[in-house]
Amino acid sequence: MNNPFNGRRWRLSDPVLEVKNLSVEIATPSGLIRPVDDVSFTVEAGRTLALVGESGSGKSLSCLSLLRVLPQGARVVGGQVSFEGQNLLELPEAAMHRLRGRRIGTVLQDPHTSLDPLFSVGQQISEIIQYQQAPARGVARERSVEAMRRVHIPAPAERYHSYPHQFSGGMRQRAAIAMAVACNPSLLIADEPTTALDVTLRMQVLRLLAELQAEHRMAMLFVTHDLHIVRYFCDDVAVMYAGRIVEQGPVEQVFDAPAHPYTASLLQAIPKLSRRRTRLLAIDGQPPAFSALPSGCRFAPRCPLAEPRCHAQYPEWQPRAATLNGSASGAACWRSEELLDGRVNIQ
Amino acid sequence: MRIDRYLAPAFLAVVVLGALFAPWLPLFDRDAIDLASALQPPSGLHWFGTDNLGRDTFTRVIYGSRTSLSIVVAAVVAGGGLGCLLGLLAGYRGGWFDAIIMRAADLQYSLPPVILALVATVALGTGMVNLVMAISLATWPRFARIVRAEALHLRQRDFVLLAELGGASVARVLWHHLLPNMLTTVMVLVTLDIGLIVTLEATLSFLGLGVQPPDPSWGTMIADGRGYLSQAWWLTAMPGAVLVLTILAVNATGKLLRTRNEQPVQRPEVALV
Repeated sequence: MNNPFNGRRWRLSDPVLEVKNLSVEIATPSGLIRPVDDVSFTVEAGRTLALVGESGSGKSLSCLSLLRVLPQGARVVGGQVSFEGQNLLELPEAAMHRLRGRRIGTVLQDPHTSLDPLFSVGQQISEIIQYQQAPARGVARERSVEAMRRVHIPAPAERYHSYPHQFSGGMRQRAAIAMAVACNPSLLIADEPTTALDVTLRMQVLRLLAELQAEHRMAMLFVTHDLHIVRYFCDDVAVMYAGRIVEQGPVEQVFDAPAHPYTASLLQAIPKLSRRRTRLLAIDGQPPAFSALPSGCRFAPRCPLAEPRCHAQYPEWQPRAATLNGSASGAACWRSEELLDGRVNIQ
Repeated sequence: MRIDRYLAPAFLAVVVLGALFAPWLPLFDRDAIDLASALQPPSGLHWFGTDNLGRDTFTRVIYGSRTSLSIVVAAVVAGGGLGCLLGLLAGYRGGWFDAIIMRAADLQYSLPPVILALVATVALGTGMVNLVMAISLATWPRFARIVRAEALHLRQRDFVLLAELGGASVARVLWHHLLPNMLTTVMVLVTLDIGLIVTLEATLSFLGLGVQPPDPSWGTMIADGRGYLSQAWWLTAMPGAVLVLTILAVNATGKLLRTRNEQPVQRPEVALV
């Protein structure tokens, strides 16, 4: 299969997922809105890209559009999505159907609704294996017990027959992860997999995900709004604001020296135990409504560094020096250089 | 365990068993004409009396339940099945399909089911199959509407999305994930529907558009007895009473099932108070 971007065959060393200029529109009674606008990112094998942003910034919608399961009224209006060299947006539905579950696994936020209450956990994992690999019933069962063991569900053979309501929240999320990785996908889309969990369970689930990722060099797209998790768990980060990616790059680079005032403000808004007695910074105002977006930079109305040109024109992408692995890095801000040089400061 | 709660299911069981095993029960011949013992009131020999041709009314009520109940079963399967299928697809697929199905259901809803079934039997002609079709035509919208609403609600749940993402086909999602999760609702609908179908069947048969003589059904028996109302009240009253009691029993049983299903949900609420 040739890569739609460069015309050559996809190789194992190429990024697993490449998204270019993806845009999604939704028809609303008050007109078309574009909650995902010109979004580009890449995820490489064995690496984790965090998609960070406020609620409604287009993170989940971006993921759903990769899988082509958009809600009614929403449609992809532009861009390309290349997964292992195949353009997902142009793939026939039948091929897409084979890809989901087998090559792309998905974990969702709420473990309480991600399992069907009427079937045992084991049955549900077997079901996924049945769809994808269609082995004999006994084999599917063995494999699903194996999948449960891989996610460290204790006594998996006995727990096979347990129903979701007999599982605790953390255990349910493990079962949901077992369903997602049962067929060894090369890409795992995790849409806020730890948001609904207890703080004590988060670390366990994250460790589990890291472990599973290491086993098969799985690429992971990790949607979250917890910056701590991004810091300690992800390799790259893409920050979304009002449907657009405003900054992108390796986690250390972005966190140590943010090139976009929005990222900088977000990082300032994290409470830190070591920095006692300093005022916690908050970002004034609200993100704009998609039906009334500012004409220039979407963050400009809330930005402490906004200049007249920020309000007039959407900033061009300002690339940063190439990093070791050569991943896309930069920010959409007219003043990112000044911010990086330390000539301006958001406080 | 209170006995009166089980009265309705017990009565229903007797009616159903009677219908199932009628040919093996020690009954009279349902069609044997015996003019010498015509129009006899209820007695030890003829429990429900005899009709103008001397046929045993009790026997004919039992055989009538056979006809009536088989029509009920067929109509529930056909009408309920059609309604569930269309409702599931409409709720799951949405869009123009949903719009068409639901407008069709609305259209039917605006007409009383009896009128609709009446028109359908007139158009299709009489006979058991046509009768079932006519009744199904009148009852599917109720299933379609409620099942659609349930499907819309369940479709939002993550496990349905995950099943799709896991590679389940549309049929699999509908059959395996949506339908089992709305089974309680469908069961309640079925119990409500049975009452309506029994009434519809009796109404159509009463009007001569349903079951044709000499096959007995509760509706035809009530219609036949009407001419002798002043001399032989039992000809209409007995099948009428069985009809009313059956409908009541079905509704009571439905309610019993419903409360039983709800118990586990209610318990924590009570504990909170």
